[in-house]
Amino acid sequence: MQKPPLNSSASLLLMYSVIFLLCILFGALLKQIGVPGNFINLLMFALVVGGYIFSGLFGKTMLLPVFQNAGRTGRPFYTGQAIAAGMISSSLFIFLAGDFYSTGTDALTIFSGFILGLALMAILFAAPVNRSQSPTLAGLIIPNDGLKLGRLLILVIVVITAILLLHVQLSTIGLISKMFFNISHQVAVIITAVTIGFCIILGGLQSLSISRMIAYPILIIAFLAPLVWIAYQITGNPLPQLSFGIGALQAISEVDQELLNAGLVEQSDVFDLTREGLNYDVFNHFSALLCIAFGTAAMPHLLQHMRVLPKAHSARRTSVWALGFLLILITAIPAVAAFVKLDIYTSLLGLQLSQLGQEASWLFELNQNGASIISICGTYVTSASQALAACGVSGEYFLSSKDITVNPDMLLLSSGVLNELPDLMTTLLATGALIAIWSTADGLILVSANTITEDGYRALVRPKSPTGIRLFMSRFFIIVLISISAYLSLSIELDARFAFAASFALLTAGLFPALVCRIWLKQIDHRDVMIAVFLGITLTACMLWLSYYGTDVAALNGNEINFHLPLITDKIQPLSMGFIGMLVSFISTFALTKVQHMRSQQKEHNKVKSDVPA
Amino acid sequence: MIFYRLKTTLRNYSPSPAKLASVISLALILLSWPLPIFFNGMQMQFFGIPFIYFYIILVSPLLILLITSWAVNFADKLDRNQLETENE
Repeated sequence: MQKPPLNSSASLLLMYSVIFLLCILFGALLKQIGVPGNFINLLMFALVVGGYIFSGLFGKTMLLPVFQNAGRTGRPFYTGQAIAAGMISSSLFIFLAGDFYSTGTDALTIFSGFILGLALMAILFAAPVNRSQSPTLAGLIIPNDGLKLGRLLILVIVVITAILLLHVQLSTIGLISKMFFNISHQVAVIITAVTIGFCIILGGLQSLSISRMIAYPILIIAFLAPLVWIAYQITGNPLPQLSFGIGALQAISEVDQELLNAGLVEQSDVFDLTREGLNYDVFNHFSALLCIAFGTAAMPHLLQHMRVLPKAHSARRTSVWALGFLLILITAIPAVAAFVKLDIYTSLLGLQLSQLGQEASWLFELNQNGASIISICGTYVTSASQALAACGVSGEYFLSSKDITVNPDMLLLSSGVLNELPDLMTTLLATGALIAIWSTADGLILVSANTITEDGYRALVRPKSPTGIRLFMSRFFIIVLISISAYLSLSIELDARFAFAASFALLTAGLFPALVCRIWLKQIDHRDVMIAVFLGITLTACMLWLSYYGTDVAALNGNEINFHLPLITDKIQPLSMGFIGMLVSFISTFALTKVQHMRSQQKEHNKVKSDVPA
Repeated sequence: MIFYRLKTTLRNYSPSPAKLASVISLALILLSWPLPIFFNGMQMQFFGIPFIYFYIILVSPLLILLITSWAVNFADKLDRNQLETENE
């Protein structure tokens, strides 16, 4: 009998990691003999594509249980790696370092929220999801003979949140494809769709687990190798998590203090992880933190991995492993921001504008080919004359802190160049970013396709459909969803940060209360939960709509209707809207349960009254 | 003596899974909140660096990991006890 593919996790992991390391060495060798950097970048790109094709072929199956839960052959350690890789998305890998650079507590909210979310997943949902016989979350929330509209509501929440997060991933790919791999955004999206589609269509969750598992060490190497180099260069300590606190922050705070004393910066511009957020006050900080945590805990594309494990205690342990694996990467992210800040302070601050060409020519290289990385006086300059024109001053002018701005979205990817590391390190960062995007996108598509098949097609259209047809439908929906997501990412421009926040807000307002109530408060009827969740999610969706599209909405006759709600649209951040929706869901659930209880008591009382003879 | 009693009490303590989950979740939420801010953590120095950085970036995540790991083991123990009781 053939061994299940996930039983060979250790060999697969070792093999792919060794191939990756050999490719890095080969790349370094090619660089030494003068091969253009673009060729080495493409080699790494091909390695990532090859990993996905291999995962698809190695995990391929024609059995529905294997497609949906990998035959429950997973192991906690390796599945933990898969969950961590699924969690490390573009928002975390690419944007969080920039957020730490440009904001204070705002980035800490996301940082702490992700960690707390994974811990809550281990405590609250890992074991119940594993024990559930249903291949989707709706099956856990609603009994088989339960409310069909409830299943539809869960389906809508899962699919919409997945599409929003997919939009973030696919639109981010344009940031790196042109700059590092010389591939246009459209072509990069098509390659992404074909590669991850090929992988998950063949093997479903089995292939997804393999691809995510082998992606994790690559993500870690790609992220930490340049950072360890920078940390060692600057502080002499190769552990970035420790060295940035001791080596970089002290130096930054000294410069900041001097600048403050000289009146060159304001307190709000000082680099401080705990300074009051630019966007979040205390309420928004706390509610956004909980929203990210609860959204992460109830994230369907991560929870689906719990079904891969044979037993409930393995599922709990896998979440703890995942948390450990996530901590290795996430605790190093603030170090990127600190090192870049220190580099800007030491190499650009106080530099005479006329010397920019001689002392910091790397700045112009960074902004080549339309890239927007570091701006001088508000312009992404590519020459010293442009810098002079942008500042509108003479060459005698000294650059101050307020003249230099770093694009936070590009901070991580440019950190290698900023710290003058070899090109190969920048290639590694770009490869890591690519894997982070793909390893999140594939799971989102798979969980949505399985949900549509089980909770849409099977539950609502054809309850007795054979397993072969359901497998076919899952694969069909994967193709449909990939095509829709690719089309949307190329045709609609949506703010990536808003899409991220909206996705978490909807998960927190909808899926989290539903799961908590049905798993931990079993006496509550699923109909009450579904009505309450509908109220919570509708409120959140309305608030999100108003905050994104403004408060003036065009009516059918062309006139504008003013929906100005100053307390909601001005004061509450999108993530906090999810928290409010969640409160509404919970309060409505308890209120409805109480009303039902009172009604049944009244009925019993009336019955007893009517039974008693007059 | 006090520690011995505490240890024995904890060893024999058998809460319902829902109670355990809610208590641990609350503890984790409290840990994620940057607590030292409330007791002037910016003034506390650790290797010349405000303690708050170490708390948020290293101490709090490690504590969360440790508590989660303990809670997961405890939940497994509760599951086993329940299974044994059912078998008996």
